[in-house]
Amino acid sequence: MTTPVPDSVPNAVPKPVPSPERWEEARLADALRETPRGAFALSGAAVALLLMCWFAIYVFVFLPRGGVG
Amino acid sequence: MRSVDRLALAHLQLAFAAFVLACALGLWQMLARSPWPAPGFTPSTYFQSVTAHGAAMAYVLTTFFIMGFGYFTADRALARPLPGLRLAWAGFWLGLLGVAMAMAPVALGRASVLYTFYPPLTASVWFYLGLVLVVAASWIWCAVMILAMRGWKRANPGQAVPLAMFATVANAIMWVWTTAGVSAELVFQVIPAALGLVETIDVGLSRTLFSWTLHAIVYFWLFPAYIAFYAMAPRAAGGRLYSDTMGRVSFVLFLLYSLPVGMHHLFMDPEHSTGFKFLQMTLTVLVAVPTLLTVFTIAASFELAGRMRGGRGLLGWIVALPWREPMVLATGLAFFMLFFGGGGGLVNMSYGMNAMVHNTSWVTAHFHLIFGGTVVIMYFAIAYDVWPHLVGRPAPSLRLQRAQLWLWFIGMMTMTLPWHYLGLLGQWRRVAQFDYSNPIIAAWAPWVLVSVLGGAVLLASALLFAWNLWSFRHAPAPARPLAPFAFAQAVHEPRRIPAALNGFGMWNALVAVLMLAAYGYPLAQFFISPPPSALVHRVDGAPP
Amino acid sequence: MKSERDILRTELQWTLAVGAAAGVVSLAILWASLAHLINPPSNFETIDPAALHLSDEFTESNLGTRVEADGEVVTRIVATQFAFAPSCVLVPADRPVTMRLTSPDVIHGVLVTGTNVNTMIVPGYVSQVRATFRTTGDLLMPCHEYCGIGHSQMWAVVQVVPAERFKPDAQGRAACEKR
Repeated sequence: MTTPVPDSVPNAVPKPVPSPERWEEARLADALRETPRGAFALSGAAVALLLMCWFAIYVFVFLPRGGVG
Repeated sequence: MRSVDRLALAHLQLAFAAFVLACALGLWQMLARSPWPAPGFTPSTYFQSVTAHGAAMAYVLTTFFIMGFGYFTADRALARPLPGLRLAWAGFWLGLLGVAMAMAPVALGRASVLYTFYPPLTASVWFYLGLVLVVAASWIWCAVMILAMRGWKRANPGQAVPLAMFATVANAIMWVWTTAGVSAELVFQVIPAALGLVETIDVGLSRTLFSWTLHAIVYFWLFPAYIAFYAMAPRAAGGRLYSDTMGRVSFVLFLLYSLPVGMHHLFMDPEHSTGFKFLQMTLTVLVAVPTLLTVFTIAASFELAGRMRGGRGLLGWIVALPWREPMVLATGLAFFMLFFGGGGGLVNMSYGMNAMVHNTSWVTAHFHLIFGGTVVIMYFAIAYDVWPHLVGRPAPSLRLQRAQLWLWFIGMMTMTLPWHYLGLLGQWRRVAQFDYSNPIIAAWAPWVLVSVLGGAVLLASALLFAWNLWSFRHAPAPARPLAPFAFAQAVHEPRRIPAALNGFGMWNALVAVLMLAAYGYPLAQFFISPPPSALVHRVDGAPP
Repeated sequence: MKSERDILRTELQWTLAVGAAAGVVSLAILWASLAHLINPPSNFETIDPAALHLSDEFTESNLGTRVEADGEVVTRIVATQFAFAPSCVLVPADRPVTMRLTSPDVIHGVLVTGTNVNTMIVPGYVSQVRATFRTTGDLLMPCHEYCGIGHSQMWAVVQVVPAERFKPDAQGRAACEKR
């Protein structure tokens, strides 16, 4: 993995060769800057699609079958 | 091997043995309902098989898997000796005795009442007594889990209970509440009838008591899958859990909202009025919330892992995930099936809309997809994850594990998507065979045949699963001992934590309030003005 | 690095979105219930299952379809192990029909294919479903709840005919056409 240590992490590189733990922390902080943009997009799209399917069945199958009760 | 590992292994092996047998029965049942022939078919053997399939899947696979995984979790997450180890073993043998007692009359054709009983139909009393023993065994497990957490908290004052254990105990407490309904039905109504002590049964009451159990039991089965999502999958993906706090919140919400919603199984019943049906429908909407919160938190955890592995862009992290890991693959497939299974469930719970699908194949499709799909595929992934630590050997082949997961996914989708469609066409449930000479039914035949093929793929996957676990025996012992098992870490591990997210006292009180509101009057009505009862119908004679 | 607070803020945003979705679905369900009158059948009415033959309503001669004095079309059906009485009911299309069902023995249930007609039949209760059938033809009305070994053979037919072919006799009774 060649991801550079981001500048925004203060004192991320105290030594020329960072320890694996610090390296991991730096990658985590880097990944966290974008997260959860993708999770919003993915779960948002899934829930939107789910609601659309539900409304499709509601409008095209359920309501035409008529009132009961 | 350590004793606690032997304990966990015994439970898991029993669970999966029942599972593989039940899969074989399932395929045979699908053949019986299809235009193709099923060897040995009679209506008696069919309902005998459905009873065995349902009881094995719903009571044996689930209960023993959850118990075994719970013991493993308590041991690894708390890292201290399990209290009541001997009691736990007693629970195992009691449960096994219960399974034998319940299954013997099923095998003899004296208990073909399906796993949901349907009083006033009355089977051999051994069937019910056996199931009571299985429930009693699970209560022992609940006690051990609660004691284990309490002991850990006493030894670690002020510290957060590890999330996996917090969730396990949430499930144990929910299960005690859950089983109250079915236990009351069995002990006060069904078993007295089976013993010949009473001649009639208040069917409205028995259905209401069973509904108390019927929704929450599914969440009991589901908890291990969610524990894997939160506490195992993020590590397997090479990342961290996005939020430990939201995990706790979701598990608490499951405890609260799984219980006061069971009446959505009775929307089409005449013994309840619209008011309580509507109330419980509203609460059912709320039980969707923790699942949707989980979807986001786990997606974010995977996004984190994908980005840490170099994934870029809005969705590029998905490609960067280590899909070679069975746990990661299973989680992805589980969420994919959850989309369809959850969507179907949304239709089921939609009050008036339930009339469109109640007791059709749509419902069968829904619970096979969400339990057999989302939940059981995570049982596989959990088994693959913990087995090396139980037997002390690495997996002989991750490739075969992935193949098995894919087969299960493909089989489940191929089986259940046609079932959904057939349900909308009106194909009804719990039927041994259909008359394909009827023009309406003849039109269903192609879709029924597609679903049978899906069932065949599922059986193949189940057998491969058994082989994958069996083949650990042939794996070479590792040169160095395996790295110890570890649950996933959160981005921010909880340091100081509010008591409400570290225990269940307050939540238990809230469950009591909700249950009183949701089930107080609906149950009391049967005692305030008892309705006419139905005569007991014994079906425990040997079939002709 | 995102703090715990930052993370929980994103979770809260998502929770609000989830709440909105749940709200939309709830409103649609309420709309179907109030505007389209599609509700679970919840007619709370008890009857002694052991004495149906002594009741005025569910005696054998009173089963099937009948136009009541007030012009309401009522269909009465008894579900027993393992048959419906009668096994075929005639109903007019495009006219409200009240189906009343009960059981003398065990739990049964019915649906009518292609419609929203669906109810459990629980011994001790009279189930009632009001419906208007829009399409003519023979619809299947199976028992959809396990009631014993003969469950699979238990089904009936709802014969929906155009209004002009729905001809009740002097007592208001109408039975299926012979073919």
